[in-house]
Amino acid sequence: MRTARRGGAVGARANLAPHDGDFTAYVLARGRDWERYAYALTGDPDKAQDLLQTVLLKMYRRWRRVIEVELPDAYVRRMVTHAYLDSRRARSATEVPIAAVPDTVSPEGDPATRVVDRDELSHALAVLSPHQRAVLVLRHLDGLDDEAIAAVLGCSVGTVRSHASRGRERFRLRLAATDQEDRR
Amino acid sequence: MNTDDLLTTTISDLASRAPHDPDLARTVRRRSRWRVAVAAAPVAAALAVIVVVAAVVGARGGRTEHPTTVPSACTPVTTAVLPTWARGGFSDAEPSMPFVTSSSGHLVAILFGAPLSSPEAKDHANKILWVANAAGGSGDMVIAGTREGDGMTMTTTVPGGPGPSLVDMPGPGCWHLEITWGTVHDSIELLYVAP
Repeated sequence: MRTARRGGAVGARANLAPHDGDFTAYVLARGRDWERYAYALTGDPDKAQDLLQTVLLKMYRRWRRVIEVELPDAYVRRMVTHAYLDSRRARSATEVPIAAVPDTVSPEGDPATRVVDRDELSHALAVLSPHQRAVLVLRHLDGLDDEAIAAVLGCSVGTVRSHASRGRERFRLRLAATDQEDRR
Repeated sequence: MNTDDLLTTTISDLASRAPHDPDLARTVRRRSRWRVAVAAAPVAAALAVIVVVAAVVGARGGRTEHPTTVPSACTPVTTAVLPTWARGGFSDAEPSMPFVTSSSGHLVAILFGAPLSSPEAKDHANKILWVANAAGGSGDMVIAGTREGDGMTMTTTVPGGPGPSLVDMPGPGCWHLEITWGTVHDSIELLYVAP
């Protein structure tokens, strides 16, 4: 952004062009995984795309600096996670908890019921706090251990374990509650 | 399934439904150039807007408006991408389904058994997934239907509120449905054909 304001269109392109090939190759190789990661965090297609594109845009503009300092994967994971946590922090005051959601999981059978079941599980994820969700996504999607998750979030291993344990319990209780509501 | 396995399945399943941009690198580069262009030429952008608005106004001025007649409250059901709030649970990030939107716009009837038929078709049931984008609804969803033309009526209930249902009608035609659950009230028109 700063480059664009100072140098204008021609200057900015001249600075960025030499890295285009590397950047494109990286996004081709890893883009889909980051799309999945951003969507697992946000649960919203538009927010996920915006989050990831914003981070990749920053990376594109600072490509040389990024690859000098750390591995591209570590950079994207850290930036996407923190952008997600920041965006949730800004919105948390206005968010309303989701109302009732039904039923139990049925991998087979009626397609309409499967849609509802999936929706219920997504809603159970939505009750997690942003940090709990980030920890569980890093653990269950990326397969990171607690030390690696702590490094991404910039917190202690104890804090990671606490978020994981509370998030897991919240998810379980949410599913149990909806199951009970359904049986009434 | 224990909670950890369920978490892994749920998160992986959600991730697999992430929207995909097959040309993500180009999209990012385009955004970069767009930002540069906006920063460098705000006046040009404003002029472009003026030109587009003028073109649209000009085009409208030359168009002859024809009054449209609506023979029935039921319009043909089209298959289209569902509203964002109605996509929960679909494996596709932009699911395309036949659906009808209520008069308020906050309820959709997604037709898993299209076309809806009365009596029920031999090859499919009148399966409707109701999805609401409205707070305040709770309890069963009560449907009171009136057939266009002769005023034939029906009532049925979807237990637990909006969700999967089978809704059969006593006869084919355009049905106006008054729908209530909790404090929410809405209406919708559904066409049932004779199979």
